[in-house]
Order: sequence, then C-alpha cells, then structure tokens
Amino acid sequence: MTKSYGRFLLLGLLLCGCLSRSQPFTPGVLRFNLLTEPPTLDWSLAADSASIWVLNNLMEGLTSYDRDLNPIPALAERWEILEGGLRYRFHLRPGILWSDGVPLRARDFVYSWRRLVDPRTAAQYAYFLYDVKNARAINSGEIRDLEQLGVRALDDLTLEVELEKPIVFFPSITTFIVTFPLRREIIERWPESWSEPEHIVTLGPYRLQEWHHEYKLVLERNSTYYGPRPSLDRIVFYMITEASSALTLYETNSLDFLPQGSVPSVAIPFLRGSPEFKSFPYLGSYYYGFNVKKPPVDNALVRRALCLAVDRSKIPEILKGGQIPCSSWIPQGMFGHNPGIGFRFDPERARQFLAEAGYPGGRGFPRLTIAFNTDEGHKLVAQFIQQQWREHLGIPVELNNMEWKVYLKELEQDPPQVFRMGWIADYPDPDNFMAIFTSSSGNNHTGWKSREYDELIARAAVEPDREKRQALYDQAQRRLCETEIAILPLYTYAQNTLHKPWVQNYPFNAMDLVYLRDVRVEAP
Amino acid sequence: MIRFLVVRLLSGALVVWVVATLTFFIMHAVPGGPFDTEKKFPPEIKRNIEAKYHLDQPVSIQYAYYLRDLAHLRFGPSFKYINRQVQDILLDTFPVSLVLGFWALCWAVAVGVSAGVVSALWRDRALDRISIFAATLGISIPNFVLGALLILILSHRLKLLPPALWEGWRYLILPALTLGAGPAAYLARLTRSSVLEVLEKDYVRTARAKGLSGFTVIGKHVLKNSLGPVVTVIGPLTAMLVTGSFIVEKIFSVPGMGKYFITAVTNRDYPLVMGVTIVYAVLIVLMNFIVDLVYTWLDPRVRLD
Repeated sequence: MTKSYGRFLLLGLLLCGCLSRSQPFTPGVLRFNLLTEPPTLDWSLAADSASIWVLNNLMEGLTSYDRDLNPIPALAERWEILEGGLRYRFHLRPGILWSDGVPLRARDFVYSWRRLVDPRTAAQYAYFLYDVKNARAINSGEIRDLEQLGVRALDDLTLEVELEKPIVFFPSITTFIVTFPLRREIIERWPESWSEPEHIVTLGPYRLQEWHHEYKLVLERNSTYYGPRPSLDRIVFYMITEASSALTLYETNSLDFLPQGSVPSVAIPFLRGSPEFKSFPYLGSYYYGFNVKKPPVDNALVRRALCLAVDRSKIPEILKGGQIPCSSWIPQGMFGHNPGIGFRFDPERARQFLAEAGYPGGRGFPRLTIAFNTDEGHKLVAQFIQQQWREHLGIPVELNNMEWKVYLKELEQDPPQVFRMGWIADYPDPDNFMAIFTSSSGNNHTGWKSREYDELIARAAVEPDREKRQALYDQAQRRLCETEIAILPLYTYAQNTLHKPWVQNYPFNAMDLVYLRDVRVEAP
Repeated sequence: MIRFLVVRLLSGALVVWVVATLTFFIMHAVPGGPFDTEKKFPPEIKRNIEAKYHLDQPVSIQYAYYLRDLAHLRFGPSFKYINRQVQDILLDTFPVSLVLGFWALCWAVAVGVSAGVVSALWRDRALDRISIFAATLGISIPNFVLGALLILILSHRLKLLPPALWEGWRYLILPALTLGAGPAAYLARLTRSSVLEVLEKDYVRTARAKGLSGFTVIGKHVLKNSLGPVVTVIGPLTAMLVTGSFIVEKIFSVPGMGKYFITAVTNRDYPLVMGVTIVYAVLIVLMNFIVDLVYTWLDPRVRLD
C-alpha cells in the first residue's frame, strides 16, 4: 500500500516540477535520513545499519577505514603483529579523552571485549571476536572466567590481543563497533539506560545531544575529540521509514542527505543525470541458492543448465537500481573479486546439459519452485528467472513468496529447491563472503558441504601473501559457482543516494559506512 | 449504578485477559522467531539471546511470566528495541497518536455529523447530492492517496503546510485531515440515514403540528434522537483513531504507536505486540463503557442495570 502511495506521490512531484527547486539551508547542520529508530546505541548489542551509522560518529575503534576501505590507525596510533600473526599489540594514542573528560585507557577495551563475549550480554555480534583466544568458549559457556579471554592491558596505553589463529584481516575487525571501548563505571551505574543522552559518554567526533525515540537523534560536535575539529556543528538524524516521504522532505529542503535505502526505487530513473544523485557499488551480492539435496537440483548437470540459461545483463533494466550483474560470488570492489569465474549466458549449452541430465527440451522435468520473501524487487527477479528458465529450457517453474520471518524459518528447517538470498559485507575481506558456504556455517542453506572448499577458506584466512590468497579464493569460487554449483550469483548491489549541493566532502564508500567527521554543509 | 460499574469492570477485565491470552498464543504459534535474522549467528549466540528473554523456556512458563508482568502493569522488554521496556515505548508514542487521533476525531465528528444533518434536511437537493458525493469519495479514496494529494496541493503547490515531520501544530493538520477523512465520510452517511429515519417519526410530526419552529424541532427532537447509531460507532472509532494508523504515521513521519500494529508483528516482538494489543483492547472496552453511559443521556428509556 505504501508503495502505491510512493508511486502516486512521485508522479505528482514530477508533474508539479518540484524536483528542481532549491531552498536555503543551515550552514554547519546536516539533516540526514536514518530511515528507522536505532534499536540500541549500546555498541556491544547493536547489529543494524541505523545504529551503526550513528555509533560510527559517536565512537571510534582501534582502527578505522580510509576511503578505499583499508584499515588505518584510529584510537591506536600503531600496532605490532607478533608471533606470526597470533598476537597483536595495539599502542593507543596518548591524550584521548572521553566526552566527560576521563582519559581513555587500554582497560576500557578489555572490559568492552569481555562484556561482548559474556553470555549474559547476549550480543548478536559476539562472534566477531571468535578468533580471539577463548572467546568462543567463553561465549558458549564452556569457560566461565572472563579473564581467560585473550585480551589484556599491558599498561594504560598498550593493549595486547592473542588470537586462536593468525587471521590476516584482524585490523578490519577492530574497525567494527562491537570492539569499541566501554566505560565500566558508567554501565554499572546505569545498566538499563547508560546509552541515553543523559548518561552516555563517547569519544568520537560527535556526542549525543538528544534522542527523541522514533523521530530524531541530534548529535553535536564533541569538543574533547582527539582528532581534527569535526566540520559540522550538529547532525539531525530523522527516522523517516517511508522513502517517498523522505524524498518529499528532501525536495522541500527539509533533508540534506538521503542515504542508501532512502531513495525510492521508482524515482531512480527520473533522478539519473542529476548532480545530486549518486549511484555506486555496494559490497553486497544477491544470489539464488540451490538445495543440492532436493531433486531435480540435486543433479549438478541440472544446476549447470539453470545457471547457463540466465541472462543477467537484463537485471539492471528490470530493477532499475544500478545493480551490477555478476557471475562470481566475491563482489566487485573487494579483494578476491574475479569476474572470469562463473557461467555466462549460453542457452544452447544450457539445453545440452539439461538433455544430458535426462530432460531433453525440458520434457519430464519435475516441478521446480523458486522461493523468496515477499518484496516487490525479489518478485521481479523471480519472475525474470522464471521466464528465462521457461523460455530457454522449457521447464515449468512456480513462484512461492513468504513473509520474511516465515521464509527465514523455512530456510532453516527445510530449504526450498531454489531460494533467493543476499549478503552484505561486515568487513571488506573475502573471508566474510566465502565463509558463509563452509560446511559448519549456519548461513549455508544449500545443503552443500565440501571439505576441500572448507580447507581452501581456512587456508586463505591466514595466508598473508596476496597472490597466493587470491589463488585460493579463485579455487574456492570455482567450486562454489562452476564445478559443484551451490549458488547462482546474480548481481552486486548498488547504493543510490541523494545529497544537496551544499553537502560537501561526503566519504562515499562501498560499505555504506557513514563517517561524517569531515563532511561540510556550506554554500557550494 | 454500582452494580453496573462492577459488572462492566469485571467483564472488561475478562475481555482484556481473553484478548491478551489469545494474542500471546497466536503470536507464539506463528512461524519465525524474533531472533531469526538474514545473517544467522552461531547457535551458542542464539542460545544466549533466548536465555536472556526466557525464550528457551516452555511456552506455558513464558505465559506465566507474561501474566506476572501484566499484573504489575508491565509488558516486559522489547525484543527489537534493546534495553527499552514496552511500557516506555508506549508512553513515548501513545500520546502522539492520541493527539493526532483526537484532532482527527474532532474534525470527523464535526464535519461528518453536520454534513449528514444538512444532507438529510435538504434531501435530494443540491446540498444533499454534494454531501453524498463527498462522502462517497471520502469512503472510497484510500488514505495513502488522500495523504499524497494533500501533500502535493497544500505543501508543494500552495506551500501552506509542511509535508511531514512532527514539530508543532502546523505539522498536525495534514495527518489529522487524512486520518479523519474516512471516518467523517462514514459518519456523514450514517447521520443522514439516521436523521431521515427520525424525521419520519410521529413525534416529529406532532412537534411540527404543535407549531414549534423548525430549529427547535431539529435541535431538540430530531438531532438527539438520531445520534444513537452515531454514538455507537464513535466508541470503537475513537479507540481506532487514538491508537494511530500505520499508513498515516508512515506517510507523515509521525512518531506514534500506529506503526507497531504492523512492525511488532513482522519483527515478532512479542512483548510489543502484546502491549499494543492490550492498549487497544482496553480502549475499546473503555469506549464501549462510555458509549453506554451516553446512551442513557440520549434515551432516558435506557437503564444502566
């Protein structure tokens, strides 16, 4: 119903010629659509993009990202890698103050990490630290002594971390909010409300001034911030869930920035060409998974035929959101991406493989169902795939959409023959994408298990040589997408944003990380 | 009167308990849990979360916890909004929906009842036809279309009112107009037919024969006697309007509780579902009680006992 509203309103906006009007703004104040209420600002417990967007401006970690998503020093001015990568020693910058004037100490990290893996905290992202010694055992309750966690403060400015294995992407892990330091005394004093404006203490470029739940969050410049002076005086995060309403407010100059997810997809074709519109790749991939235990897709020849019969190049025309077709799994823009892997559209070969599988011309092919969660975009993709398989292979395909939580339960308990899924990067390393199809991963709904694949992923995670690492991921991707074919990668996501000309120096990046420290709002 | 109050209080409590219990078990029977997410986390993490919220206990035990909390007027912590109690969420958002719903109801009743009376009095004349047409439009146009139209005309074209947000009384007008339009149209039609029916009554004819002025006949005899069906509808209508509307609050970015009727269910946020359901049930019971009181004023033949 709200989609209908969006189309209706958009049509009216276009007819009124409202998309080109400009109005004044307030210098130094950024009005940004957060889309939704952050479920929490407790950074041990936050697990959603709205919370993460806000927290990345209230707090910092040991490391941060540069514009190319390489980890760079943040609260740690440098780090040493010891014992072949099994031990990391972080040296904190001296003189960093929390917003209440208390100096940052290494023990603030120790407390935060112990709290994160403490089972009583029940943090969704506790597994981010599972490569730290004893973290998993503590989180699962096998070890009850939190002091057994492989992290300790050598002194006020030195933090040492002991790992279970020498993972090469650990400095990327420490960019993530759940690893940020915490003040024990604040949390113990206000256990339920420490993250509300009246109690919270932070050390990032901005501090929390106001939180009107379900409506807006206001941040102001943090005068105790250790780094360069933040450019903005205030940031107002509005929580506008309806994309068309957000666009209306943008057009009437009540908002300055619409991030990914806030620009209505029906508006994108009309916005292309505007200097305020920006579309760029997102480290996220969309795929169709095969349940390799269910006929007829238990037959690798059938899966091969299905992959070859899809012309992905038409997907951007259908979805109109700047999606980038891809045949391999690691997304464009990430180390390990190899566009040469995977099947290209070849209907002739597809028919041959189908005949080889015992279904010449699609004759005798059993009923095949594509499952997806109810959503207009997923429906369009499913209808397209259905049409492709019917046209090129002559097989009957049914569609089955389900409410989101029902769909997730179905994937967990009895994955359909063919199902849609996607993955968005938690950290910009191929391990984050490739590990989800290992045998023990809860995110692998395909039923496909390969010891060789698991070994390749485990070796790649600790391989420091980039060329060797690339080769390992190439081998693994070939197994996943070409030889054993557990999935059919379809496209890499795109981010579509709108920003007013007076919003300057915004650090657009492929992970949709919202770092507003250096953003300026001033006359262009 | 006391007997009436006691009986209504007890029956109201019973209704709320039945609603709460049915909702509790239906919610738990729906496939998919509150912590089923696209990115599945390791099983030990899921166990930790379920233990924190007692979801690892049998449903009967969870129900006992739920009743215990309810007896203390607590709904428990939200599963979605971490560290926030459901009653705090409702206290933040219900007043917003209440204000919006109140003004929507005010204009719906004022315009709807007036239009219905005028329409009936000038039956089959131009005013009646206009009123019927407007009422039919009001009932037929979905509120998301009306909301968009109002934004386009009053915000974009005429620049009279803000298109969305919640910063003061000017921000209230468009959502209140949108929310109240359907009920106003419905009340207009209901009032018209009710007034027409009363106009045919013998006592109205007698009043006119006695030489009373038209104004007195309408004001004293017709209006009061034709409001019964309208009042019946206004009870549940009030409960519906003051608890918010998912669509209207979404379109105008109003921070009310209406959205939770949908999002709490899709998130499987059981405590929040229970919270909004119980608030709604209590309001329905309360409004029906008030309607019964109003009946006694409208029609002295109605006795509370």
